Amino acid sequence: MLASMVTLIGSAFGLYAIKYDTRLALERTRGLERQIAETTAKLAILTAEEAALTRPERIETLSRRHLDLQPMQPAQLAIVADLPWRTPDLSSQATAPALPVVPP
Amino acid sequence: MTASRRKSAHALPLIERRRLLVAGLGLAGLFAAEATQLGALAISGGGRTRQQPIEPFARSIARPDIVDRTGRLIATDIATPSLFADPSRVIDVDETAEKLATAFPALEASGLRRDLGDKNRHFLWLKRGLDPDEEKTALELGLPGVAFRTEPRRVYPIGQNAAQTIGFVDIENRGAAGIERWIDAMGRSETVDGPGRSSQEPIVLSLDLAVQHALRQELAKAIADTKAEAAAGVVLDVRTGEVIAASSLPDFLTGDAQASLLPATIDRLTTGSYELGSVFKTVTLAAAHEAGVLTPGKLYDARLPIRTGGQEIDDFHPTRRLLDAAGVFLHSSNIGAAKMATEVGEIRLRSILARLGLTEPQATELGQGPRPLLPVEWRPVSTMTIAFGHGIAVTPLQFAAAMATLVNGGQPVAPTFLKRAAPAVVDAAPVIGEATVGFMRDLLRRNVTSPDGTGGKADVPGYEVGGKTGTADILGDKGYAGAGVLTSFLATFPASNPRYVTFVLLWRPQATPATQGSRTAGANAAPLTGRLITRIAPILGLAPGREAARAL
Repeated sequence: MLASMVTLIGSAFGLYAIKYDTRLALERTRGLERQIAETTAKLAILTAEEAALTRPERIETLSRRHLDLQPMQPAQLAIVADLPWRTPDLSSQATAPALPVVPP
Repeated sequence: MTASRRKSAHALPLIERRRLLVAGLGLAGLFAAEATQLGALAISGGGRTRQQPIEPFARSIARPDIVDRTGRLIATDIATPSLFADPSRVIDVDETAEKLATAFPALEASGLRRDLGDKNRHFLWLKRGLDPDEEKTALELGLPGVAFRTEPRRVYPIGQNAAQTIGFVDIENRGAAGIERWIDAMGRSETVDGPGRSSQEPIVLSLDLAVQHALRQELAKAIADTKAEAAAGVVLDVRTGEVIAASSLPDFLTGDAQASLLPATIDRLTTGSYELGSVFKTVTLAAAHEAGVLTPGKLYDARLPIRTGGQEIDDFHPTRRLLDAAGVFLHSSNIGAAKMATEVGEIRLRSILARLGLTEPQATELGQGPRPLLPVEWRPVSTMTIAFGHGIAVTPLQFAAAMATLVNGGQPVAPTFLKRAAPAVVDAAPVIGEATVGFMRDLLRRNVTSPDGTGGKADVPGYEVGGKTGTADILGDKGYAGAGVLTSFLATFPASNPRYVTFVLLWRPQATPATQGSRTAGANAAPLTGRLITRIAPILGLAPGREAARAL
């Protein structure tokens, strides 16, 4: 009888403790959720601002004004395979091609 | 015990038992109601009764972001404050109306006085989408019954670009035109509480903003050089039908609904049908090759104009000699093309127009295009004029897609403004024979490299550009004379294994020193295409080659 009373009171305290913890956790969750919403909203504004600042027409205007560069021409483009020769293969000395002799 | 109770209950007179039953049921009902209420309160969180917000106040529409094919942001929602009033809580109607009208010139005092005086109302929008300055002004007024509500508002951080393609939204953030309308039609926008953000993945467009910018800028330069009224251009991936860039000038600030209503700013690529002129000879040559009428050594007599049905068909640059099939194309001979089309015949010509998708309206994400204008009554002269691009009107995007089919291996192409998921290559049954495709690639390339050709100014060393000019008289009030011209250039590169098709058009260009005193396509649309390809080919990942362009 006494044991069951103690258990009852104990479990009641336990229950209340859990309930208050839950409420606290809930309040914290709400706070965090609000923070997330606010940060997301700010992020959206900043992302939009970044996109506006990096839009091609703006970058082009700025580069024309401040940089000493010109639009690229196709002749200035090459890929690696276009390079005329490769460095000799150093791992096999014996088969290394003779370097061209420069006439005096 | 149970038995004895039952027994005693049964011992009661019937009337008593009934009373007991009624009382018991009544009590049970009351307890149930109480339990429900308690449960509801426990769920809703305490004794505070929540005020149910008024409908338009509570909900707003969140839209997914729009990004280009490389992930650059085109459109997004940002949370902005909007000002509203609750007339039932406004204390001094006159003062509130006066102060608001002074702070926000768009508001009118007399109307406000009437609306705010209506004490039965609980909600009245004052101004949507305040900027930070306006928000501060409204805060400083400190009027009772006037408050803010944050709601999503669409912004387009790309400035003035792809305006007609993207479209715009209405005041409630609902898509009203272009891709924005498509988003709503697909159910990709959603209703949210307050300033909530969309839970949807971003919409990835096929457009590349860098290519888009280059196209728009080159079109603008061409307008400045030639004093043209308008210009339009499209860059199409021939293997997937993806629209890499699409621009129609004059345009407007992206998202500006008001400016989009001006007739000058219509999307000339998808909503306007035009007689394109000589550039249509590509279709004639392909039809002739498909039909097998181009036997080796075949010559077309272009010495005399054709007179038929009260019309005269003559060449713009008369050669007055016999031309082979390639010669008809390179010299852009109307006489030769008309004779060639007559050989092909109405039925086979109509069949190839249908196979290239030039006889039915073209549907894209922007909606259904206009129905192509074909002869109401098809006569022999119709076949002749269609051979050089008159008597048939299609949208420029539709024509570009047809040309993609002619060079990509013969596969039909459905243009799309959305990035295709990999594998992106269209795998449709060819509608044009392989031999014809090879013939067309070669012919287009020769029109740029040959001294006889009209497309020399479009060449870009290393990129193997192939193309065809078009200079069409515009049909005015008094017929085709004196109403100016529509010049265009259709190009494909690299011609031996085409990856892209470009199509640019200029409306009523003038002869200016910048175009060597000529107003034909070879002098304005062709060099425009050359400049365009020079800029965009590296962006598209193509390196120049000695024979053919290769992947970077």
